[in-house]
Amino acid sequence: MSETSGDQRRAEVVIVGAGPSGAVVAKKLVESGVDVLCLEQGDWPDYTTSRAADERLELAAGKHWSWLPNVRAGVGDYPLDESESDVSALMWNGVGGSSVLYAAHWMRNLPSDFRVRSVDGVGDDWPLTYDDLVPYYEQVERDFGVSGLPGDPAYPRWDSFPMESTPIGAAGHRVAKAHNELGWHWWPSANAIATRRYGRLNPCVQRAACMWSCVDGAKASVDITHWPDILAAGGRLVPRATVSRVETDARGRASGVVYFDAEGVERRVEADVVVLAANGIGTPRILLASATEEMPDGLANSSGLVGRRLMMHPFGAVVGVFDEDIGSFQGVWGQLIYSLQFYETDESRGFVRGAKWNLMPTGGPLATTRSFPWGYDTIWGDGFHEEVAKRVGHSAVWGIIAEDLPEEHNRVILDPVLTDAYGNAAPRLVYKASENTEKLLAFHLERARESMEAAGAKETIVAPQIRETGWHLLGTAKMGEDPASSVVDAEGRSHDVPNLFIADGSIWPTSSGTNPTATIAAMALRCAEGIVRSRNLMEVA
Amino acid sequence: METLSAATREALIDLADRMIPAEGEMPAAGSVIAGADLGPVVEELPDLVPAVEKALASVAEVPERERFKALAENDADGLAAVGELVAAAYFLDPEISRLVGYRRREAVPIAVDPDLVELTRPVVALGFSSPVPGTG
Repeated sequence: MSETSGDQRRAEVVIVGAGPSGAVVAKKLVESGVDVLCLEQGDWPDYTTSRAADERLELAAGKHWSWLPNVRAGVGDYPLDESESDVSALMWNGVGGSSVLYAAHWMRNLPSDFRVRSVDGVGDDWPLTYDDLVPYYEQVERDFGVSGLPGDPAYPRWDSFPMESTPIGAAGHRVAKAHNELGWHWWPSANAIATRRYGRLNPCVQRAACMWSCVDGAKASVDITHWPDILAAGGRLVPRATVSRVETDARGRASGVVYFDAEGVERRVEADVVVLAANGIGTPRILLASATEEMPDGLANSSGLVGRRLMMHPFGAVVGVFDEDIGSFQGVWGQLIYSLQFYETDESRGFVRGAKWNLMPTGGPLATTRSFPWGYDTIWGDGFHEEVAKRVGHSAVWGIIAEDLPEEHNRVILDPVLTDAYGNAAPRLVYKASENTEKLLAFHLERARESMEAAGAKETIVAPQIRETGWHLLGTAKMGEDPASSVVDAEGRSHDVPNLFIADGSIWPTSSGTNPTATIAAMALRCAEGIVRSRNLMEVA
Repeated sequence: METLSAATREALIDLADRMIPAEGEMPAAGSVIAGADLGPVVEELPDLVPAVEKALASVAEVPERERFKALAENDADGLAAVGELVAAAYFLDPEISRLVGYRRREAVPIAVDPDLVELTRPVVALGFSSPVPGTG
């Protein structure tokens, strides 16, 4: 796919970031006749370099297709200072964004996720409800291509899926039956993975390699599901365009953005509307870097909350090792089944909120030698081969996504020293998991161990806590009704700058305990609708 | 591209034998590494080379047979780097792949489970409810 050519100095709407939220916004706007230009700091993914289908898969994940930008250090990656963070941020910078490497777990938030303050007395309520978002969920599920089984009693109004559910595999069957006996919730997983030919998607061939890119075109990443149609409809996309700041006019309206192109030349795009879709780290970084004499704390930051309340979903895992061959290096990865048994608050547990569990495969022989999720007791030496044989094909892992509560001291700031290749200040993360999160994880790890034992696991292993779990980057430009305590309104519009919108996970008031792409996409669609609706009334520069 | 020096490869062989010893029909890793093309491993994991060199340098003065123990006791990161390289080279070897029964993730056509409605009946019967009034 080639870069967009022609004049890139002016657009009705400029979008920063070509990941899921940017793509959803661009699609809706282009369909509505809006002139759209998207600037993406990375490039198109080059699937010819992926190792997902060959014997080097588990090696390649270590560098070129790493989830860590500091390890990958590829085109479009900015350095991250994580010396003050318990968790490392994971992301893919390029067309498709992190949908290129996500596991495609497609979870809606639950109704209580929108009412955390009302239900549990902590965090904040969202300025909208689950019911408000249902029509948007339904649309983005059709646009991405989601497979699943309707009828999960944990979700009201999730009545249909575009495709039938992915298979749950031998491991899923085993654990599902155990949960039935325990009286615990589980459900066949919803995945943004095709189970038949669907739009541009091919049916999945179960390589269990989603998180190292899908070379089979079966996973709904927006470089496949959205961008070709957006470009065909006249939308414009400039890859390798690193935005350094949003510019404003004398009245404080956004007037455009400044970026560095692939040759390192500084350029400027004028726009009536600016949409930031650069993830929970990239978006506050740009806002903070857009400070002026009139706005010394950054753009859209009269509340002082830009960059604050960073949430990254601390992650736990429990492995079950079984006598039987449960085929655990092929299948959907993706998730096989999920459980919401302990999702809601039970005050007797000593913490608030909960977590979603996802059952997943464990990988091939090389993966069995690593400390995550297998623990720090090394496998080396006598008994090595027996241990590998015991693990390969015989194990499955519950991944536990813990809701973490918004805390203002967890934040993204601009590093005073570290910069990207163009001299833009790099983000520094300041993040520490709370006591509530630690208690929550401890409880869930024990319950997950019980689940595996009930399923017949002859051995269970609680994975060590590792840094490299920050898949979900949320909360750093909070949405709310009050400009004094939030950055944007319920449609992502800045309280301070009326023609500036934020469409990514930055705007979440609380983190939920689910994988966020479904809700990010639904919220982005809602944001785009708001832009279209107010298009002729917009106060522009 | 980073490469392993001949001296590093030589030093790895004894260590590899102790980390992945021979057992049954499985050969020890040292013999596999001695004849292996480590290029693919180094190509995919270039950052491993300096980490392995550093780990081996840290035990250079330790008698060869004691190096694994020294790394295990004193340098967990170094041992992990050496282990990653040794295991990657070992499991990439076609003969080892055959013996282990894993070479790559094959394309397996997807088929829908026919039993999910029946299997989920007990979950539906749980009748999960939401703490939010009016939902669930």
